[in-house]
Amino acid sequence: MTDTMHREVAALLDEYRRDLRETRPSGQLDARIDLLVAGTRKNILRPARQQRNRVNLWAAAAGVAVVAIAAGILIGMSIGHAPGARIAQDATLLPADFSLWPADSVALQIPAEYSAQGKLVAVDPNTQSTGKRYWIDVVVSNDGTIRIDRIVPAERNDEITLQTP
Amino acid sequence: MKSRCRLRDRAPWLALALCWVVAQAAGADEVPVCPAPTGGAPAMPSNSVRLVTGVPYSALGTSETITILPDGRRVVRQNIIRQWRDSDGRTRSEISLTTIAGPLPLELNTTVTVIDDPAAGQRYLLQPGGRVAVTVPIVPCRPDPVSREPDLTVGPPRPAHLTMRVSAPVTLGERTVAGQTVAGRRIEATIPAGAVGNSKPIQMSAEQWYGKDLQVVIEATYRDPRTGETRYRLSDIERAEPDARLFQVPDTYRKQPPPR
Repeated sequence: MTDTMHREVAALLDEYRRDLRETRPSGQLDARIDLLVAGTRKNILRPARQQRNRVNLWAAAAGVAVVAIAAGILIGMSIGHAPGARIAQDATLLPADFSLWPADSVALQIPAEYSAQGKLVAVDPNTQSTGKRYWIDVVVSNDGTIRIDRIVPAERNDEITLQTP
Repeated sequence: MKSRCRLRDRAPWLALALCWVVAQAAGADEVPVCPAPTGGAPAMPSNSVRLVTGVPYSALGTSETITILPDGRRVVRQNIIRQWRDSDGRTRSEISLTTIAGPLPLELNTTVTVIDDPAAGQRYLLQPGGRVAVTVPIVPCRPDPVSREPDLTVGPPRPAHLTMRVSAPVTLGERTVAGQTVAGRRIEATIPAGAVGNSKPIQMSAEQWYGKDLQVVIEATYRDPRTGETRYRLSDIERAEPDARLFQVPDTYRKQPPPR
């Protein structure tokens, strides 16, 4: 490393120093720079705002989705807690003091008459009655229970209820 | 690139629409809980029909009642219920009734076909003789297993307004019947002495084994000294989806309301 600069370099530095000293602020340049800076800021800010808007939209969508999913879960829980749904999932979840199992029943209304042998026999509803006709309410369930609930004379609305053991 | 950007812009709205559809679908599945048993005397069943979906099957239910007469003779009565259920919860039952035992036996010798269509809210009772389908409105519901009221409609027949003591159900555990895992319960009922002119209490019992998967009773035994012992068993269980035509009223049938 040398302590003295090269003569040509020293001359160039003197010239650069002189130019800097003579330099004056330019109003046009300031205006051009302001214009460029403003334009650049606008160009930079526009995508940022779009991105922020998109983020907001996604955030709103996510919020609504969370609410909707929570509502769906609550509805599902209310159905799941509906006793029928629980039994559908696992019958062992039934409480210990529950009665017997659920079954499906159908009520049949069957016309019947007493036969000559004294038996109550089902008859075709379209046939002429040969004696006293009754409507028999029969309940059949798919748990194997079949029972007569009511016997009602066809001519009257009097109800005969089974009373004898 | 442009269409990709457009899709990206619309994605949030598509997500919102999807959430709305999911919420709507969840709400549409709500089915009311079946009304609790009335207790006391057996009542005519309401129009509520239990809805079980996604578990299709077909099977043969046989109910056999054996009555021992005072002179020692045995009387055996058999009734058969052929049953089908599809994935949508529609059911068809072909009920072949010969005799219903009891204090006033009823000779029937008839077959009734019942089709339940919960989606349509209709029950059809087919009468082959007159080519008539009697229509009855039904309401699908889900049973209420947490009901604390004993289901007195289950078990042996009872006279109306009869005083009766019913025990708490006893859990019998689980076992396998006809290839099905079943859970058992037993309930006992007593008609006190003098309630119906009886000198001694009348003891009755009902024992049911419930198919956890099929959600129907697979086996049951009912004992009542007045009528004898009734045994019910579900056999020939098939898990295939039944023919959809089984759940439709034939075109040759005329639909009409009940006669009275």
